[in-house]
Amino acid sequence: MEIFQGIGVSRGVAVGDAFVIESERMPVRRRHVDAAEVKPEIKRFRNAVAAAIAGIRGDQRRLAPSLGKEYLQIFDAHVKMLDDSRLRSDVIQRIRTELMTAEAAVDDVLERQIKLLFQDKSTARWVSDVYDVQSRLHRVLLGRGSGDVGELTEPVVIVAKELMPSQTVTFDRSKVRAIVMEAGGKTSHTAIIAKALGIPAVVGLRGLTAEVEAGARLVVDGGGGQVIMDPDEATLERYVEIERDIVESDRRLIVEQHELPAETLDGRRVTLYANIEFPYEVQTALDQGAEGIGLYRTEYLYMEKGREPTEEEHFEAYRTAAEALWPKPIVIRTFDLGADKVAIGAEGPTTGEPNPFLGCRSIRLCLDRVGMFKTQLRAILRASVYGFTKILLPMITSLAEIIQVKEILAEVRSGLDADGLPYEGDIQLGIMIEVPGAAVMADVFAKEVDFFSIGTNDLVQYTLAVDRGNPVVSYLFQPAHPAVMKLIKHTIDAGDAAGVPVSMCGEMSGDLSYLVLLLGLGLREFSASPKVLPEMKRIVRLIKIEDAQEIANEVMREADIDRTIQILTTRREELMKGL
Amino acid sequence: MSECSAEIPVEGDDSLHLRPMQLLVEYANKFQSNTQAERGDKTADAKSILDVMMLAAEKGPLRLHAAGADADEAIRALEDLMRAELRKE
Repeated sequence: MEIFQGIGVSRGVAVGDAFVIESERMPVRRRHVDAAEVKPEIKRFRNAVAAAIAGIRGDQRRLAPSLGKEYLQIFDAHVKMLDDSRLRSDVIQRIRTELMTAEAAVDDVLERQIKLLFQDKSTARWVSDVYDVQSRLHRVLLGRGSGDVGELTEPVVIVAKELMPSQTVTFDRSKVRAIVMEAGGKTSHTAIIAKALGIPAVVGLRGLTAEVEAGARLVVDGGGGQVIMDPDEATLERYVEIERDIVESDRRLIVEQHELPAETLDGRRVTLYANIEFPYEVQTALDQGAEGIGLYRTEYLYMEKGREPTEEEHFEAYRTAAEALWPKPIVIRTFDLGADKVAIGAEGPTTGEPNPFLGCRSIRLCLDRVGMFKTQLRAILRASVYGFTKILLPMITSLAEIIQVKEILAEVRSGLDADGLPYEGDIQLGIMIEVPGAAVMADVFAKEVDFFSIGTNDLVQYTLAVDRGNPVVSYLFQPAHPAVMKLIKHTIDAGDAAGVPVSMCGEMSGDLSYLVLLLGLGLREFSASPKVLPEMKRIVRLIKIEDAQEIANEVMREADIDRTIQILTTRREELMKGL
Repeated sequence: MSECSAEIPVEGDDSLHLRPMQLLVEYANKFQSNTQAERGDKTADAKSILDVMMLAAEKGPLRLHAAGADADEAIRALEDLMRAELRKE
């Protein structure tokens, strides 16, 4: 038995076998390019930057449910580094004057940067971030990056000299029991991410990778900062027990909630759905007690490939998800591309628009590119016989759009008939209410569609005319603003009057401080990130609808946003105290 | 063509974090003017995060310079932004 003392950066105890990552730096073959190759090489570099950025954006979207926003910002910094004007000019200059390949030029520039960063303690903490950026470019330019771990089949303890933030976020909690690293301190991004993921981690263990053999039994105590190699029987037993206790108490909440219906104290049934982005998330959603998928974002199919997915690629994804869920429903939202979601490669579908958020995005883009839209609709219809699928259209602003989509759907159906392919005849068609105009017109739209789904991020942004990514005005981004509340209330009422179910799939629906208010406004269907579902159910089960209505009435009478927030906070605290 | 400067104290532990520097770069890029950020002995192109991050190794206040058509505007915006950001640290 051998004990190593390091710095504990993420609490928790884990026992597992060591998986040692040799972080050999990627060798880059150097050769001169011909003068004729200079231009294509520069283009290769530019495309690699665009693809690497798209890769980060994709990771961020995928990780948003499990990592908080403040952690995702780490990757915003990586985007900035990739999009850096000096990186660009230095690399291009090397390609042009020294006739270097794109990968060699990238390496030269970033290696120099890393050397500079290493010179001071306060900058050395960003070395792994620059490695990360370099590795992403390598992955695009060379088809592989440094430190790719590959598929882990058994749960392990990762032992490494240094892990990159992007590597760490890919670790699956069920496969990575703990992280042990030679480099790093409490403030390194890798440590911060490990903590956010809830993976026990100890860092600052110099020379450890040389000491630990692959497969060695390790005990990691993330709180105490200890790593014990080859523990004796008694030590092992003690830690196995601690580990089991921690896992148990986490699981208890989920299991307890799992068996119970989402029903208020006065017996009103609420439906909780999950938002997902990938078919494989269906299982997580079900494990967390989801009663279906209220929002399946399909953009990733496009973003990931950097081109239009084929009908088969669409179909495969939808069928897999629908089958796994059956008989529970899955709401598939058609491409919500454009604006902030632009495809890989230099030219997105709508690059160069002066005002992308008011431009050709979402349904507008689909109606502009009917071929692309039809392919997706065809795949959704084909998948409809494998489960309970519904179609959701984003960014609808007018009746004409709904009617146009229905005509396109009819054409797609007759195409399928002609090809003898089966589909569900009366598939439900719903629309997102995420533009103020649509909320105002909800009573009219209700006559044309089967369901509404309120998208709060865009609804708030468009109602209050504020970009929350802009730090100068982001304080104006207030979901609790009375104007937003009125639009939500109007939508719910219009849906109720027409017998059209209304759900909410925006960020607000997973925000527990709004849950009670929304229940009071009459919302009965919610779709949120799988992770928050057990907690949402717990709150639903603790309140009475009439109390929620009282809170909603109070909020609706308020004209002042600060007061609204105050009411919500005090009411929530009161409620929590009663638990 | 005009020139403009500002000096912003760095409060707290005197070390710069990545987030405010990211914002500085993001905003500097919104202006046409050439913008520089200086701290201690180092000068960085305020439009490059790779440059600006090196200022974390220095001590003391952050100095901003802009030269170009919108220099006044640029410095006003960047100064406001950095004053707010560096106070939060």
